[in-house]
Amino acid sequence: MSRKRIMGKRSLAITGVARATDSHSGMIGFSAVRMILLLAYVDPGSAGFIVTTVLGVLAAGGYLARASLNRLKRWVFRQNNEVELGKVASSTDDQADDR
Amino acid sequence: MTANLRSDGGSFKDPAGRVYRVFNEAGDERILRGLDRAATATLEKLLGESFFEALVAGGQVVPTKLLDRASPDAKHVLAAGWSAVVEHDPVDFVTWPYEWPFSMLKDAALLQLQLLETAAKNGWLLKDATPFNVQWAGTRPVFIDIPSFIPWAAGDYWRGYRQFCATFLTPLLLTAHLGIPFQPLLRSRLEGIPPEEAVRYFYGLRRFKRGVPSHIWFPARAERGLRQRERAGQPTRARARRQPRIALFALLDSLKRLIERLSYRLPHSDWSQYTENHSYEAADIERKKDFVLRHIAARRPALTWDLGANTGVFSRIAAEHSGTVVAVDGDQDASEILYREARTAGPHNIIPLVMDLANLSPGQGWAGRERAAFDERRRPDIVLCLALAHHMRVTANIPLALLLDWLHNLNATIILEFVGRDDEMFQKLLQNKQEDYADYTAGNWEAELRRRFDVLDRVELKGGLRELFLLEPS
Repeated sequence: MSRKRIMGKRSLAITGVARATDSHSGMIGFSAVRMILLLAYVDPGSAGFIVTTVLGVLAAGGYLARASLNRLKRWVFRQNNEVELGKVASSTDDQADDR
Repeated sequence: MTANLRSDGGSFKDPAGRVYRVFNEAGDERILRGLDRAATATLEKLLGESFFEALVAGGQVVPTKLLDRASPDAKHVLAAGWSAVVEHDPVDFVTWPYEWPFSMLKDAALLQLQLLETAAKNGWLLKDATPFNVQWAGTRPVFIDIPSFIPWAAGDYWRGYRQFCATFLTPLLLTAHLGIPFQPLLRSRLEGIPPEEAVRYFYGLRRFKRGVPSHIWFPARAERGLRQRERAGQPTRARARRQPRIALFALLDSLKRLIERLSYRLPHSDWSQYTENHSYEAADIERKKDFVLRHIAARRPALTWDLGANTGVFSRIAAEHSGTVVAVDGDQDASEILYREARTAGPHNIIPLVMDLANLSPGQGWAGRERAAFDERRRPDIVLCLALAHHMRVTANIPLALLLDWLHNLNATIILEFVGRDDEMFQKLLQNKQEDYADYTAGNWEAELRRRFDVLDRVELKGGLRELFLLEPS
């Protein structure tokens, strides 16, 4: 497993390189040890804007298409209803005329 | 005069306000909320909105009113430094999402989306999205966190999306797509299941299941990418971000359609079929129903618990004469069936919960007080424990004395059924058990009962193999 991958799973990691600093004395030590907080200060919600924008824009096509279809349906049915209502009204008028 | 005012253990995360519970001498509860200056101004504006009035009238949002600053209870809250006090109608029994069956979480999610959509159409947003903001009036979900409503600033995006996915959508997807019960996961992770953890459940072809690529895989990749940038020393710069309004409405619409299509197929577990498979003769079951009905009708309890409720035969009987019935069972299918049936056909004053009775919901969250334990929320008036004690003894290895101690501490009227050793169902439980459970005898049962309770009534069933008791703590 790569070092990068291992670091990705830890909130606290020690980065550094073990190196022979004094070959004459045979002592082994750390020439540089750096402790950093890797994840603790990154709010995972920071990706929220990007995620919601991408998903929202992707969904917008279908959403707009469905909204247009619904508007069309409402318009067609209103037309039909008006025709039906017109028929009812005219038949009522006819009946009234008959009387 | 105020008898007792306590700040709610779960209300501290939002600095704009705090919930207080007030109990008067009679034990009646009022729910008050102190608000800071900014939240007060927002609330005053919200209370004047017609869409909000419609949501309250429709029962989707808890009724809320501003309290007169001169009222005694308001004075106590104002003394804590708040600018104003509002009062919410109390819920009959507080429950947590990790106790709900699948369809309850689904209905709560749909309510959250519907409220957000309605609010957005009127220039408002909900700043968070957690199922802890939803409670139940029987089988009806009610949104209780009014300060979540905030004005929608132009170009602002839905900041609660990640929380919605972690606490609502991912648990639903896990159960609907993979059959993994979400309750234990939500119980251990009160903030929900983050995308980078959720993505591990959906490996291989599972990642292509409906809703997973967009709401789990993609957010997980985005968050990982963000962290990698941070580690590489290239933090994402804060800049003015504006999102088109249509993006929110389209996202809400797609989430709503996704969740509406999610379903939980009942696998017909032993308990969900229990109503058809029980061992009673018709006369015995009628005698048992009559015993329960008679004693509940005589007492008309405000709150009844039915422990080991199964699909709710006795919860329904209790519901006829109870304010609210909390029906608890360890089997998700049984609770799911009860919820679905009660939601459509009634009675509507039943709250079905999924909970292992040998491992009740504990106090959780900060200091163990943020989410109260099941038996520390509100004292029941009557508790039904029908055909439960033998399971607790044999299956869960809870000694009779401990079970009776716990029931005694509830300080409620108890209707308890004892299943004798010779009963076929008890014998069935003993199969493959090495222990003999020698303490489980009618004589020992009676002695343990009388140490803690007064026996007010009793009736034999199945020719004496079983017995029902009506008990009052002594």
